Amino acid sequence: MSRIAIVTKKCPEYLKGIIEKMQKCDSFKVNGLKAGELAEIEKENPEIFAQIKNFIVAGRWYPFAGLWQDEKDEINDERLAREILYSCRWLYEKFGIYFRVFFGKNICSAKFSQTVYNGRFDGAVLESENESYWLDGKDKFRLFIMEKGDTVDAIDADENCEYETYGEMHHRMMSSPLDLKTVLLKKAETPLSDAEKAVLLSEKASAQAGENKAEEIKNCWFMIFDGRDCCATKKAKEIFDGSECADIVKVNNDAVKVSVYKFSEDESSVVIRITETAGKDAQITVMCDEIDAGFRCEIGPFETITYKIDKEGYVKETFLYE
Amino acid sequence: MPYTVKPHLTRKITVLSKDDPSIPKELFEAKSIAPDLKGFPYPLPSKKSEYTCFAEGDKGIIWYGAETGLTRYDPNAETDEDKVMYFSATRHLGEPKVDAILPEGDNIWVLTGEYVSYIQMVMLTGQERAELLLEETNKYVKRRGMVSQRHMKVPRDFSTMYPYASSDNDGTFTAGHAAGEVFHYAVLKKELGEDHPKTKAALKDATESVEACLLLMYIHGRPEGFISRSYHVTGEPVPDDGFFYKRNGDYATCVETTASIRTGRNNEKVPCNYPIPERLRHLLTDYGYTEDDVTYKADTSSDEVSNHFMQMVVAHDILGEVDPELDEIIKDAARRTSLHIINGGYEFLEHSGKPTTWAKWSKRYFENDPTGYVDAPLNSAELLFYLKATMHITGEEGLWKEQYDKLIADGYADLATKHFDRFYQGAIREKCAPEEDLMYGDNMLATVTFWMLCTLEKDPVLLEKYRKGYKSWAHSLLREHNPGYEFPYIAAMPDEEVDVKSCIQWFNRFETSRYGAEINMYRHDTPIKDKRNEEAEMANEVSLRLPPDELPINKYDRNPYDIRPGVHSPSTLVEGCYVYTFAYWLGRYYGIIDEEG
Repeated sequence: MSRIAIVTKKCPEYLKGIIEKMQKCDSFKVNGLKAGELAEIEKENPEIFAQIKNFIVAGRWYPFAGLWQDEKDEINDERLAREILYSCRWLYEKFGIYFRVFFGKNICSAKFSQTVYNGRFDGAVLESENESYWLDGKDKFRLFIMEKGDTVDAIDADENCEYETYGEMHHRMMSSPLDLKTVLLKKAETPLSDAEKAVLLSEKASAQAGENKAEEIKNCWFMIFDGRDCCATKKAKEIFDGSECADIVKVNNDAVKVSVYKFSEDESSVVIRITETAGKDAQITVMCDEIDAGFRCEIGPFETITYKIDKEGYVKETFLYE
Repeated sequence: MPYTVKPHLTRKITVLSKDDPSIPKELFEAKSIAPDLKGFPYPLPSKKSEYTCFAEGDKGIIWYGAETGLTRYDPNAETDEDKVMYFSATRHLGEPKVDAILPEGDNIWVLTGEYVSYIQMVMLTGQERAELLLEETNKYVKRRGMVSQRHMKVPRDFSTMYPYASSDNDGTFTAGHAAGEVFHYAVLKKELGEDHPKTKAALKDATESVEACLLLMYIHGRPEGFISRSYHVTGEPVPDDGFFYKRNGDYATCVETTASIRTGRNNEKVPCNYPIPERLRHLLTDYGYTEDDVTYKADTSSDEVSNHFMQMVVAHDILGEVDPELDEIIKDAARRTSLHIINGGYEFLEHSGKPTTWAKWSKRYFENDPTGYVDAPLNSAELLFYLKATMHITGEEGLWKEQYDKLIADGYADLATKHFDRFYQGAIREKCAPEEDLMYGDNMLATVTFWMLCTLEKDPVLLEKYRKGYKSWAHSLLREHNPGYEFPYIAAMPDEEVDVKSCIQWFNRFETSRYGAEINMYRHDTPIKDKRNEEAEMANEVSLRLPPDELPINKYDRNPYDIRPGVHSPSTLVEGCYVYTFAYWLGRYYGIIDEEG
């Protein structure tokens, strides 16, 4: 079993101890800290952050990618998509790396395999899981759940022993013969919270009206991640106060819904997400005259697809962090 | 079942130089007025602002010309795919930008720069399409019975076809063609009778293709049994893409190529004293050649072996009684090939004793090579198929059964069920999506292997494993809605749900020429997929399966979603027709499809 050293706290004294160990031994490697935690460290202790950044870029410190900060047991897949979106983009902006192993507490959403896979992750480490297996959704998506390994708090680890990062462990396992069981993902869908609905609605309404509120929307989501739902709802209502808004994107199949309409994070395009809800393969047309877009596509049972539509109306099928 | 293939509009394209006298002068006088496409109810392949002209044809059809091609809109068509059809350069149009259009009944004249296209929309049945395609293949592609592809010197000018061609996989493609023509013969024999001229013509075609495949199994002259990938005769250039052996008397000498120099095989001598059966020699002597005119291609892969065995099973089953002499050669070829594989430790060997690059079915390969690990499920099934096929064709058990049982005991049938797991793992290792990591040639290998295994195996326990193995390929086989993959699947797995309607649409939208000029895949109505691994040199793909007449011309071994210009058939190439005719006649033979009326 792989030995994995985990960074479990973000307080300065603890981190200084880890950094000292890593400076003493060139081969010592650790895993830990989510994007939100790293963002906090960057703000409050820029010197410590700079040292951590060096280790991350050098491949010796593997952050916990995928979730922003705190973890809930059950969340809606769109909420998970936003956690992935903001955490992965933040990590890429800071370190120039797309981390391909998701880290979380447990299987937290109904379409966990699909959503994590569409976040461009090649596997997931979950605290609740002690063995490796394939996690198959009824949507035909598969995710490699990787055992968490023989973990030790990094501060207690003997830096002269060999430790792996989760990235290395994943690559090693994928390059070796495997005979894994397949587990079917059976989890009920978690409904959107009122705050999440309000934010998505205001995002759609403003984007459909041609107003780019991406920064404000992002802050609303950070409030939700922080557990400040009331603040998020209030902020969302400042952007759009209505209880509903008509869809300008039309789909010719009642079982396929447009779940998201927003501007892309780089502001170059519109992003839409469509979701099949009847559990059947479908060939559909999607039309949006307002942005001169119209395209045909195929969608699988319970599949959610993200499309990026540029200013000319050309369409790309893309990942979650757009 | 059977599902009905109804007559359907088919595009027939003629591209002329703009000074051709047959072009109506009204085309050059036609006014170009941009259409108002606000509120157009369907996605359009060009951007709305790129449309520069439009005109109404018969029956409410509207044609729209744009900077990136031509669009045909039929509001009364049955399917959305047929409502909006796209024509692009250079396969349908001389140049991308449409300057003027002139409808003529159901048809249209299109001016693009220095060229004019005459596009006819012709109502054809599925069978008529098969016949026209075969006619083109027989006239322009076939060479001594082999039907891969052939080039022309001048684009679009079929009178400038080169008399020769080269292919890495003549056996693979000709075997598919042969099987299709054998099914063709069987269907006509049943419907029209053995003595009908069409049935006799089909038998002649089928026999020649089967003979061409079998010739590849003897033309090398190696006493130990082998299959050549291809061969050339005196006067044909030998390409620099592999290992070729020039026959001269009792020995063949390895020809100088980049590969043979690099590996030290240049000038290697191998025996070639095993005789070509007299029945097959006519494919050389009819054209004035003998064995000493032959340069054959070696380093054969499992593609060749699998497809040869498939066509031998089909030919044995349908032609065996009609042509016992041919059947005896089939039996001999099956025995010699299986014996070669067994004696080679389950690897195809060159005369030196070294295995060929891609024909390995041994545990040594499966357990010591990362590619072998991923290949193992298919390759283990292939070997079981070859032995099963040999027993079926020869009627013998003995050594073949002994080896078959040994492989079963060694876990080969269980290994055959593990494709999806290992393939998915391999894709993750490469950080790409499974679709991006597909080796499209493997789709046909999996199809012939499992279709045959599921058809030949009667033991219920083993059959269950083979069906499980076939299902593990469904994710890649069934996504294309290609009847060449789906019909064998139905034949082998009758309880499985398959989208036959989409397969029929595939037949409906197949052109009657396999001329391989480019198609524009950068369309306004078709999303392009972001690559999962940006660093890998993989195709950017469209995320929708387009109809065949809006896709580049391909064989089964190419990615039909690939949008990169220039990676598909160039504008001097004509491909063989087996992609259509194999699927069509197999479907008719198994009663999956039938023609209206």
